[in-house]
Amino acid sequence: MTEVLFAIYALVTCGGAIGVVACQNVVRMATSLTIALGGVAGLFLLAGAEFVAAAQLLVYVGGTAIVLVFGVMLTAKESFAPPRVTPNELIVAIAVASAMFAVIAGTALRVDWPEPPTADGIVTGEDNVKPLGLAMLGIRADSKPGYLFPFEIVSLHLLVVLIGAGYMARATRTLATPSKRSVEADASSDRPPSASGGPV
Amino acid sequence: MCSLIVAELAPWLAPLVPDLPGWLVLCVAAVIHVTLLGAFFGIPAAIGIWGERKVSGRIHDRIGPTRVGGRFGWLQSVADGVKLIQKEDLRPSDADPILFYAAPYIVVVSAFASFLFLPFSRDWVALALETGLFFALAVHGLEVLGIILAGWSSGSKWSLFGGMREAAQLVSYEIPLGICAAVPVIAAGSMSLNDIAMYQAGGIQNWLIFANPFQFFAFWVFFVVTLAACKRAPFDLAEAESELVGGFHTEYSGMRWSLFFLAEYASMFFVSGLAVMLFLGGWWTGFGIDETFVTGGADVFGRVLGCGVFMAKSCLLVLLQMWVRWTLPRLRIDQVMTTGLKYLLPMSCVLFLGAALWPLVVYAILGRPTLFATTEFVDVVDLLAVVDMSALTAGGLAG
Repeated sequence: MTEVLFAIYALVTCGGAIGVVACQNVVRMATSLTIALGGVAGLFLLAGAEFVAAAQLLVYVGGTAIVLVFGVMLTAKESFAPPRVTPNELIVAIAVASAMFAVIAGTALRVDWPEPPTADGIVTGEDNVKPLGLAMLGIRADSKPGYLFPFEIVSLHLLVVLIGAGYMARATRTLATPSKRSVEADASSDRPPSASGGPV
Repeated sequence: MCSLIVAELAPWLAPLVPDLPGWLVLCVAAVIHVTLLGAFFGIPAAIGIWGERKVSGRIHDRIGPTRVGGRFGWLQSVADGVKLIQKEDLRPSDADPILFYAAPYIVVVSAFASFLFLPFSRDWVALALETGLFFALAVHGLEVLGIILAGWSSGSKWSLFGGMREAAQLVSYEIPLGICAAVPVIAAGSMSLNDIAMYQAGGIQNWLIFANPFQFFAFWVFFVVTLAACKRAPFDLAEAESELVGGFHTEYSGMRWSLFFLAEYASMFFVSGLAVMLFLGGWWTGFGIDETFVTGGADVFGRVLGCGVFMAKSCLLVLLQMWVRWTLPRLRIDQVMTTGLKYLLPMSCVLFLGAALWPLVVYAILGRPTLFATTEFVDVVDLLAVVDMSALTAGGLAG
């Protein structure tokens, strides 16, 4: 049963990944990526990591992929002409992709993976979240070091990124030069039409 | 804490069909459960649509549907369904075919899948995960993708504007939703909805809404935020008929259009059910007599009673949502974003901080984490003991 479910989720993930590369339409590419990330969440669930699966859905699919689709939609032009690929680019791309695949697959096959804890590979999710939360606070079993310090560093990092993004996306106004000040004053006194809607 | 499929349905089914392999029995049990959930997905929508028209009629000082199916218009939803099924299935020529057809299904799947984590009574839950609440919120938030795709792939500017506005609103209200949903988790000590509801057993004083003032306000902030998350007025810019024709569902007709609204009413029921689970005592009546039904041998009766109580409370919250819709005027998109990011987000952060500090302060003063609740406080006491021990060892190592 686990193998069948694993095959389904693996097909979804790899199918989405292939869809990203094979689609000609940019928005369809972004949607395929979203599907692939959803498949990864399913694989996490199969491995018994419920919290990580939920976080994957919330952060990647519900956040990152949405922002990606937003950006693609708002910046792509109407006629989605697929970009032309020259033969040189094709050869370089094949070489780089094959090398990367060889590195990843070779590493994955050479690692001595530990056996799953139960006979049929099904891991129950009992007592999964509390140790995780306590580890984030720095409290782990057997006096192993917790993750409080990395947690704080990552939180600060995210805060810096958030402030930077907010600063870069702020609305900027051009300064009025003295000769144009009267023109600016006239223009800024026009209010935009109120959008309170027509007859309810 | 087994799920309904594994714990009850499959063992009940297995003796009836002894020659089927184990995994097939599991699949059949899952199909039965999914059909039950499908009924919970469709029937609240049907009743909700009829109820909406009656409630809106009364608030508008008129009667509402009275002709279809007798005096109260009971069969109005059936008539609507028949009308929508027999409509022509149109697609604009500029619409992207795959994404246009797929978008309503993404919305429906996310709305339906979030019911998998909602316990309808004690242990009657499809997936009893320890992170049930987190997963439910994550799956519920996937409908944004369907709305963006619907808005963009329709190939019309009304749809695109409506879809973008809607996506901005939903994404920015997910943050206060998550924080407000985490507030009762602090009090109950678990993210599993089953455990949170079990924590509130024993009487109305144990309901998490009364645990501390921060929880009380968190319930109302949660209610407002879920109004926005379900695209209900006063946050219903997607259906802003006076502004955008139809928003993201302008170009949809017939059954595909109705899928969006099925998903919306199912979402309304889901978030009401979530609010009931988190704040209003889950499936307990609040009189403290329910446990005698469950432990005194009348197990199934106790659970059916719990299911009925849960549905009644959720329906009351849905009624409240409808009441708010037909009373308040619609907000503009900039007002929606201001309310969400400038008011509700800081509010929910303050409530989170207060709800986290309150048990510690009260514990220091009174010796127990809450003022008048009477449930077992094993988790909080254990956590404090663990923190004491680790502080001792850390101080011993550092000093």
